[in-house]
Amino acid sequence: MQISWEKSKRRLAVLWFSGAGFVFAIMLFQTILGRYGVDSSDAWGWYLPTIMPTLSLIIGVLVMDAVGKGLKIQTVDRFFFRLSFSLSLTYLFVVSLTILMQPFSPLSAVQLMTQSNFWLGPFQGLVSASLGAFFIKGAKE
Amino acid sequence: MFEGRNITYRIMKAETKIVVICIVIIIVLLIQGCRSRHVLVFEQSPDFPAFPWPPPQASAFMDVTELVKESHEEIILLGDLDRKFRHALDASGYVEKSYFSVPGGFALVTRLEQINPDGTPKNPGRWSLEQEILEYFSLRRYLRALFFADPGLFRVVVFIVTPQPFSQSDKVVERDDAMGWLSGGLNALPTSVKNQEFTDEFKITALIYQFEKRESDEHRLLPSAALTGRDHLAGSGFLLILEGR
Repeated sequence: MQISWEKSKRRLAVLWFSGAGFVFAIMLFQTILGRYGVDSSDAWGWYLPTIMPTLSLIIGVLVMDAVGKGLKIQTVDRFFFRLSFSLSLTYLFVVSLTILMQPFSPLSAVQLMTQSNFWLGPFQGLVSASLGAFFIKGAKE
Repeated sequence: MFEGRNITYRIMKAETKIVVICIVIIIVLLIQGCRSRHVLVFEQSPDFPAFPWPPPQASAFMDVTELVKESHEEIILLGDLDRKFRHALDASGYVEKSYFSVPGGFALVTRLEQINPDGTPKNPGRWSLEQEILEYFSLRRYLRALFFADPGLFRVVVFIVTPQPFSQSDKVVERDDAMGWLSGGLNALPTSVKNQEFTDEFKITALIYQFEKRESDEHRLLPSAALTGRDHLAGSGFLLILEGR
């Protein structure tokens, strides 16, 4: 079953910008209010590699479309779209949890961020692979 | 014959005087010898560990000598002072203490405790090394914990009792070293120290070592904390009890 390429791209973009923006806003307020103290660089050093690579990929695709050099396709396989969307949603949810669960954790915020690399690292690989497959498979379709 | 007896009497009288003088001298020497032996035992006691001297740099300090002297209790010996301090510390919650020797006196170390920014003990979690986590959900507390830092403040109080003036060294003590003071000292003041007279030369100085736990789980000594020594001792309740209020 097929889904509109434009629609699927935008849904993914909205999901990633919303999720990343939500976490960014919380961390921004935390930094301004001194939540991380002198360890702010450690906190942002965790956030940026967690979000930016995938966000950069999505922005790149959107920019390419905007300048007319994007893929000239109409539809993509719904399965790959759903896979990519679900994995992205779950990934962003887990990233958000790492921030939102700080008050309940016996670990300090920076410690928790460091620990989260154990599960976010492989997860990010899955998300990148699925998005890559989505865009490439979609192009082949 | 009468003159002979007179001479004999005079000789005996002189001898008696000499004997009495010798006895007095012997008694004085014995007393001095006992005192020397007493001091010698104190100085060479291998079981009384020494506190780092001069003491490491503290975050704050306070001279409590006059407060102690103004109390209604008579303090003659260091043992009396120790008893007064133990009572005040026990009443303030400092049930674990440790003793070290310092030149001419002793140091009394309290256990590492977690405190609030105003110097009052954290409750609950005063004696815990871990920071408080939310055990139940309250939106206000949750938002506060999410957006505002709780650096985790800890302190150790060391009371230095000595007639010798001292300064603080440049050495910056680590939190683990300060924690080690509690287990490294004696659990009670040696009798030889207790029997030492508390003279006017003695000064009692409270050194407060305040540590801050950072997000990266490092603990660092605050070289000049926002709280004064008086703030710390008042916040712990020790000052009130010492003053008899």
